Parts: sequence; C-alpha cells; structure tokens
Amino acid sequence: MESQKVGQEVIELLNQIYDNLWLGDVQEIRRIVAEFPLAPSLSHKFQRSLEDVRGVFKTAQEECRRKYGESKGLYYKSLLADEFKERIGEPSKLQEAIIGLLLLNIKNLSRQLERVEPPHEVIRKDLYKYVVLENPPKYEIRALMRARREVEIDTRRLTKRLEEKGFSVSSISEGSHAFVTAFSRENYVEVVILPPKVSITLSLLTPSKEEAQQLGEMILNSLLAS
Amino acid sequence: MTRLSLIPRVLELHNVRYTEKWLRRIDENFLEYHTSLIPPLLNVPPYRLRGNLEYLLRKHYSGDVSGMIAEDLFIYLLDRLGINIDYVGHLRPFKKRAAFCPDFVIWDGGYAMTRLLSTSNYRLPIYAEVKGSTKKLDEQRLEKALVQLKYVIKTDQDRGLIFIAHKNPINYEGVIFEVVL
Repeated sequence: MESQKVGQEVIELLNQIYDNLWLGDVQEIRRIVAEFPLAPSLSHKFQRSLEDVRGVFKTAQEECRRKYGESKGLYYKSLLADEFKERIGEPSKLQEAIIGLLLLNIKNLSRQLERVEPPHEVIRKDLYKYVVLENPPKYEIRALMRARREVEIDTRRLTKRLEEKGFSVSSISEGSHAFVTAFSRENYVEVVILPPKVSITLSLLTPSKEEAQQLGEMILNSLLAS
Repeated sequence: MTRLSLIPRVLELHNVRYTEKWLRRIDENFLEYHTSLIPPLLNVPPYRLRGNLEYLLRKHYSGDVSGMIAEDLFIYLLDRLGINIDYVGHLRPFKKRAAFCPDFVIWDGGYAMTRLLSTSNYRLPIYAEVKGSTKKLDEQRLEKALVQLKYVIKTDQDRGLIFIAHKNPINYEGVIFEVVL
C-alpha cells in the first residue's frame, strides 16, 4: 500500500519537474525536489530494490547466454523474460525497482541542475507564472498555472476579451484542453491550453516585448478569472 | 471503433512531458509528417558530403517522429478517457539503465481505468508499451511489445496495455490491447 502512494507521488513529482523544465524554472525544481516528503530510509529501500532487480536481470542474461548462446532475436528475449520473472521472487519488488529508478533519475537531474543558471526571467503572479521567449516579431509565452489539471477551462471569457480588443477569434475545446487563434489588423495570436501548461504564440506587426507581455497576461487572466 | 479528432498543437505540449525528443510545430509540419515527405529545402549546400554521409536536412522521415507521435497519441487517449495523466510516468528514457522497463507506467487507480481493462481487480502500476508505425500495423511490432511486457507481467493481477498507432492514407489509427498473464 505504501509503495502505491509513493509511486503516485514520485511520478507526479517527475511530471512537475518536466513542466518546470519547459518553463526553465530551475529554482522551483530545486525547491520541489528538496521538499519532497520521502524518508531517506524509504528512498534507500527503493534504490536497493532497483539494484537487486538489476542484479537479477544480469544473472538471467548470463544464464540465458549459457543455455542458448549469444542472440538478440525476439525468441531469445522471450526466454530471457521467462528466466528473469522466475528469479524475481516477490512481484512487489518490480514496483519498488521502478520507483527506485524514478528516484535515481530525479536525483541525477537535480544534480545536473545544481550549477545551471535560470535561462529566462520567470515572472510570478498569484495564479500563474510565465516566461517570454523573444524572437521579434514573434514572441512565445510559456505559462504554468497554479491550478490543478482538473480545472475546467472556459475560453468564452477569453474570446470576449479578445473580441473587445479588435480580434477575430476562433476556438476549439476538447475535454480538458483548448486551442484559440485570433487575428487583428496588427497582431496574430495562438493559445494552446493544456492545464497546467499554456503556450501563447504572438506575432506582432510592431515588435514589442511589453506589448507581448501585456497581451499574454490579459489572456492568462481571462482564462483563470473565476 | 471510436473516432477522435485532435488538435495537433496539444500534442506538442504532451511532448514536453512524455517523450524524449520534442517535436516543434507539429501542426505546421503535420502534412510532411503524415505523408512522410521531405519538404523542399533551399539551404542545403550544393556539394555532396564524402562517403555515405547525408546532410541532416536531407534525412528521410524518421521513425523517431512516428514513435513520438504515437506516444503523444497514447497520452492524448488516456487524457480523453479521464485517466489522470499526472500519474503516468514515461520510462522509455531509462530503458538503457533498466532494460526490463516498459515505455510507460500508469499509477492511476481511478474508475476511468476500468474503461481500458476487463477487470477492476488489478494491481498498480499498469504497464504500457507504445509502438508507432508509418506503414500498416504489423505483427512483429505487436510481438516486440508483448515480449517487453512479459518482463513485468508476473501475476493474474498485473495488467499491461499495448498501443499501436499507424498511419493509413487518411489519418492515424490507434489500436489498444489489454495484456494479461
């Protein structure tokens, strides 16, 4: 039961790390990894299971090589899988090894990020944070919402706000995600919403980071205002 | 058989979490990806490289791309079925370190999972193997996926999924199999 809960939490953490990597928020990654509530004894247990299972795999490989010779075909792999499963013992060992593998990866990743400088300035707001990637006249705004994934995204408010600003808008919503395109005489905007990620691409006739930022914030605020 | 329409730009955001390489602007390049064509590129140097080397720009449609699209489509499907994809872990990058690992583990024990499985008496995680193809579905891919899942499906309660996405002349087709002991 314990492994089930830890498994979910570790995967959730890994996905949060990937989302923050997309944003370039190295500081946040360091924080969530440091604050991850897993007792060191438990962490060691999972990593020990990984080492055990790897050891079993290696032994199974050697045994197969001895019995059937060198081969890489599908039939050989099937025999190897049988040999491996026979030796693994408790099925929960495999679950623990997978958690151990994910923990090891998180540890390596946070070590790699230790000396990395944040690539962009992260602008933090109450309901979201974002970065602006500049390639004038194109700008990309990557945002992470603080709301959970299950949040229902309503694009009607956004459509209305964009129309008020002189845009022609078309929008498609499918389940938890949405895609909005809007153009005016001066600007073209694409918004992809897949909570907690929002990607906004702007093409501005008069390139301006401030203008891009202003439009981006207006879009994010309209999406999140309740 | 269910037909799902999808927004290619959303696949790009799934890419961020669930694939090893990012495919940028899937929407803009979807036709090239779909038809396996190489778009005409004007900036390839006019002289040939030595030996059998080819400029990267002239590389043929890569199997990598179809693999990435298949992985994205799988996540897209899980999401549409109501499975919490925050609990889906991508293990493919770690296969070198642990060859027994499948492509994905799903640690969501919610009700939505029973829409893919024939029983509610299963143990987490559910293991999944994803294969993408630019041609029609072939048995060898299915066999490969089965063998990979054979490493981890040990008891009656263990469940695996195989998702195969392949292109037909009009669109992508995805087939999902439940794997039991």
